[in-house]
Parts: sequence; structure tokens; C-alpha cells
Amino acid sequence: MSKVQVKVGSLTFKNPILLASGTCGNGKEINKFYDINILGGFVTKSITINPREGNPNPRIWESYAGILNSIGLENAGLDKFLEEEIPFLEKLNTNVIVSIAGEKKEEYYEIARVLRECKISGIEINLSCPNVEGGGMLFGIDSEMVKEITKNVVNIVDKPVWVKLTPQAKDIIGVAKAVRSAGGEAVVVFNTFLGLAIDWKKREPVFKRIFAGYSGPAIKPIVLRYVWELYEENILPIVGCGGIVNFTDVLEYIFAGASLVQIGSANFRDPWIGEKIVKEVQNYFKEEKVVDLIGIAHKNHEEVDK
Amino acid sequence: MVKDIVGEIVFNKKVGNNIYILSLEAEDVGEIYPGQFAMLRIENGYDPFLRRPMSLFKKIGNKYYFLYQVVGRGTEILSRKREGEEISILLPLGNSFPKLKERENVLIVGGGVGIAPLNFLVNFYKDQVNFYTFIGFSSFVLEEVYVDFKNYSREFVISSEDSSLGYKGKILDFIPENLDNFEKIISCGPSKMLEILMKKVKDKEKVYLSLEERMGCGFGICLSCAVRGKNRLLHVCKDGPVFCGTEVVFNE
Repeated sequence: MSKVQVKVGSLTFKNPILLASGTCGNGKEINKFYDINILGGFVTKSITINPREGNPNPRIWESYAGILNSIGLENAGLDKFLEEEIPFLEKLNTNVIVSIAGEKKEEYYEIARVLRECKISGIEINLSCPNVEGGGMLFGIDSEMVKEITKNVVNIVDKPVWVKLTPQAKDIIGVAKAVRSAGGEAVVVFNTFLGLAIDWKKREPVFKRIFAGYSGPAIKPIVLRYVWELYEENILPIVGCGGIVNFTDVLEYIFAGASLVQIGSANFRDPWIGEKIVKEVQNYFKEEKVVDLIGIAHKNHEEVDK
Repeated sequence: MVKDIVGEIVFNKKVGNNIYILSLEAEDVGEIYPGQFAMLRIENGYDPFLRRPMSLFKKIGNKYYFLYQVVGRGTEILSRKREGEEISILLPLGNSFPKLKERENVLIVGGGVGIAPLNFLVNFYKDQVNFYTFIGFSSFVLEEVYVDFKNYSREFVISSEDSSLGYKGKILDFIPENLDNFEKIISCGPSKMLEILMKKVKDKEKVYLSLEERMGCGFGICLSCAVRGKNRLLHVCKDGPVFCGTEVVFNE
């Protein structure tokens, strides 16, 4: 077994590096820069039953060491996804996780029914998008709702199911437990943080929807803290996602307890970031195995205590 | 083929009120077509986080020139960069203006730093095309900003809103009444200017506009730079930045 291989639930990853939903298109876009098969996997842009145009401009705004986005789940809809993206995705030699989103519960199930027939690795349920009117994050803050949607998707799709959590949930541990009891195989921690920017020149909110999703290196310490807490609870494997910009960030996540990581916003400033980090991971793990070091910081901390 | 190259600043010169010309020396990535743009990473660290989109103003061998205006924190930091400092450049990105025919009559309409891709276009064809150039600024800019237009245009008109340069007023007040004689009309500048220009042209097929929109990535993954098209949503970075007059809609 390769030193960097990681198993999460029923899936095997050639390395722990994935690209996050909404930051790598549907694979093709990043494949122009490097062979995406070298990645452990990637998560597609969230798909919805019907095409969505997304939110009005502006859709992106910088803050210190991070960005606020309000894209609003722009996507071509399920039919176009099946026609234009699935043939490419089915030929790939890496894990393809398809992200699904909806404003109503039934929309998640309808997509799951169709994806059941596709040759993809698994599903990531987006219960955390902060930039839409209904569903998304509103489902993700409610443990009962998370449990219900996850359970139904798990039953329908017959493939591994992950849930992407929102940091806006008051009881993160409770939500993660709901995912476990519903049969989910991992939790992705996190989607973006709900934030605000004011255009001081215009004296009004930057975004038409007022609040937007904050991501980037500025949020990393906060996400890491939750990864640590979730690992202590030993609920489900953790996929860490938040502010990773380089290889040492990946190590922090793994040592804090993440089995896999997803690179998000960093793809926007460097389309080759995934490839660079994979190489560095392979370089670092020459003697030791990734799987032996997941959560190692917890053990090392206890030893210091004694 | 898109490349990420490191450019060393040759100069970063103030050429007008909040307007600068940045010259970078870097590896020659080969042919870049008029209208294509680059994403500049202003700091090597993580703040500011995103790159800034900028059209190429000119390229001579391994020297790349950009014309930019200070509009926010990123460009403000950029304006303080000095000779010898390094900036990462992702390029070439986006599509380009249509291929121009020899001796074709082309009307160029530019506003502010929107003249950058038009300057690249004029430099690309020089005397092979009959350019009729009309460009306007809000206030004074140095001659090096418009000298190429002056050298390579059959007719060259410049205006400024504060009368510090050329005619006083907005450039659209000075473009020819009859636009039928031009085989192509190529424009870049404030969206209000493009909108009014489009209303003046009957045959929208001969118009090509380079659009500007807030961008996150520059290569089609973040979906920030969406604009409404005739039949579908367009993304300035991957479907553009150059659009035919028949494709765009101005009524938001």
C-alpha cells in the first residue's frame, strides 16, 4: 500500500488531496492545467435539478486574506450535467464526488435517483450553501433535517454519501452525529462562513443578498478547531476544508484529525495548487504513512500532559 | 497555453490621476493576441488573496506592459511596487478581438484605462489597418498613454472631461455621426459608454466590445464574472472578454 493512500468509508483515495466543490468546475477546467487523475479526488460544482443563473453581481469581494462569494449555485442543471459532464467524469481514474444541492428536500432525492445509474465515486450533499433563498444552509443548521435528507439520499443512491457541513450550525457535533446515524460515510468541514462586507463608497452592503460566504486562509484556525473537536468525539471520518493554501496547511489538518482535505479558494489564485501539494505530500510521506498520522497532534498533546 | 510566469518590475510609473503604466520583464510566452488578458498576483503572500485581471497594454519581446487605475486596495498596493520587485503573471487568458483585414476601416472607441487592450490591438496591426481612434479620459494623462494610437491612426481624437487634454467632454460626443463607413467598431471602457455606443450603431454585428467585470480566477471556475447575454449567461473570463455586439445585453 502506498504511503499516502487513505481509506474513508468504502472509498480508497490515492492521496489525501481533493479539490473542493465550486472551486474546480467539473474537473475539465482544472484538467487543462494538469492531469487531475493525480489527485485523491475532487468534488464537482453543486448541481441542482433545474438550471440556475446564480446571483446578481457583484459575486465576489476581497477581505483580508480571504474572499466573500455570493455565486448562488449557478449551474446548468441535472440534464446538462448528465449530457456534458458525466461522460468525461466516468472516464477518470480518480475519485469523483458529485455535489448535489436543492431548495426542497425532494430535489436532493430526485438527483440521487438519477446519479444512482452513473459511474461516480460518491455524493457530497451540500447542506451548507449560504447564498440561496431556500434549502442549502437552512437545512444544514438543523440536525433533524440533516438526518432526514442524508438518510433518504443514502437509501436512494446506493453509493458513499458525504455531507458538507455549515459552520453556521449551532451544534456541529450534533449535526455530525445526525450524518452518522443516517448512514453518511464522512463529514466535510466546512462550507463558507456567513459574512458581510459594506461598500464604504456607496454606504451599502456589497452584495444584493447582504450576507455572503467567507473563505480563504483567514478562516483556517477556526475550521481546524472544529476538526479537532470532531476528531475527539470520534463520530465519522473528517474531510477538512477551509483556507488551505499550501502543504503545511494540509499537515495541520491531518494532524488535527482530518483523513482527507479539500482545497478550495486557493485554486482561484493558483490553478496548479492541487498538483503542487500532491507532489509535496508524496515527498514528505516517504517513511511514514498518512493514515498513521491522522490526528497525531491529539496523541502528542496527551503525551506532553503526562 | 496558459502559463504562470514571474515578472520583474522595470518601471511602475504614474501617468495620470490614479493611472499607472506597469512594465514587467519576464519569460517570453510567445504570441499573445489583442484583447487577451492576464491575472496579476500582487503579493507573494496571501493578502490580497486573489489576482487582479488586467488587459495587456503592450508587449515587446519579453517586456509586458499594463495600464491600470487605482480602484481599491489591491491596485493601491500595486501602485507602491518599485523597480526590481516581482509579480506573478498568469497569461494569456480569454479570447481576442477578431482578426482584422488589411486596409480595413476600423473605428476605435476607448474610455479611461479601457484603452489598454485597444492599444495592444493597434500595436499589433500598426499601419496595416486604417484605424480611426477616439479615446477619452476624465483628466490629464501623459502622452505615452496614447502615443501609439497617435502614430498608427488615420484619425486620432482625444478628449478629457476637465479639458486638460484635447477636446472637453466625453469621447462619444466626438465620434463620427455616420458609422456606416466602418467595417468594424471596437471598443472598451466604462459600461455606460459601451451601452450608449451600442445604441448609436445599427449593425450590431460589426461591433466588438471588451467587457470588464469583477473576477476571482480568470479561467472559468469561480463563476464571478457573469454578465447577461442574449441567449445565455456569459462569463467574461472564459466566453470573453471580447464579445460581438449581437451577444451582449445592456439593461441591468
